[in-house]
Amino acid sequence: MIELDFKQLVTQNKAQVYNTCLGFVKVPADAEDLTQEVFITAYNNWRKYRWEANIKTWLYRISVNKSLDFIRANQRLKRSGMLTSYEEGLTVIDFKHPGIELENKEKANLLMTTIAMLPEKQKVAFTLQKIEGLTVIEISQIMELSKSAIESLLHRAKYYLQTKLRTYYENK
Amino acid sequence: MKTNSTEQNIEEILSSLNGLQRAEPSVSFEETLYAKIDSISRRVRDRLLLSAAASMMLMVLLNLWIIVTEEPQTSIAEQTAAMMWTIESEISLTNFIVE
Repeated sequence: MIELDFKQLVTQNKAQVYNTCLGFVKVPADAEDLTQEVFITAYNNWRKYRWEANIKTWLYRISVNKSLDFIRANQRLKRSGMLTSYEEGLTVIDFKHPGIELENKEKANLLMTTIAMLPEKQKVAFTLQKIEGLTVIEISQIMELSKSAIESLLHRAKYYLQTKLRTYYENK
Repeated sequence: MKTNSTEQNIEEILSSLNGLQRAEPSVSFEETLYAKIDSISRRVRDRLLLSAAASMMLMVLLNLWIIVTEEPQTSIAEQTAAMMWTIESEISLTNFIVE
């Protein structure tokens, strides 16, 4: 029997968890599967964490970890040659993020492709800030890093993206 | 001139994320999730029951083996009572796990 307060947690946070996963994996079906996994993990640890002051931070942390595990598993598949790599060069792939409007699709796809190429920590910090709209303090709680470390990650991520995009536009 | 337009493009592209619309999971999301959780809980409960039943069987067999092989130092009635007590405590342990 699933407890009522867990059901409330799902209803109140499913969109947040789904959007976080979607921000990383970009494919709605994969994001929905990951969201299910996040809540199953939350259910298994519910008795331990139900009194946690910041449930949202806890859910964000699970979402980020699950998404990164999913990306790592996909990268392993790519390395073993089962999928074609999009990380060599800057070949824009078609992300199916439902939040992207049609007129911005090309630009957003280019940006999402470039974000996917960021080192892991920079990708997490940048995605949480730009897609989830979280503050540096919130990101530092989720990633369990200091505020200055997050600021440095964001700065480096932006620099990396600018460099990659500049190369792309200059070669276009 | 090209550099300016590149910079403009980069700024535009970076700011395009700010207006990203929120998406919602499918309508059947919660239903599927609760079905999955129920099935996982059932599997865990079945495994616990199975291991409790297996340990109960083992205890009963052990007791039987002791009764058959050892010289009786206590009466058969006392031995039967001891065995019944073992079985009952195993049953109550199983019930506790199920609850």
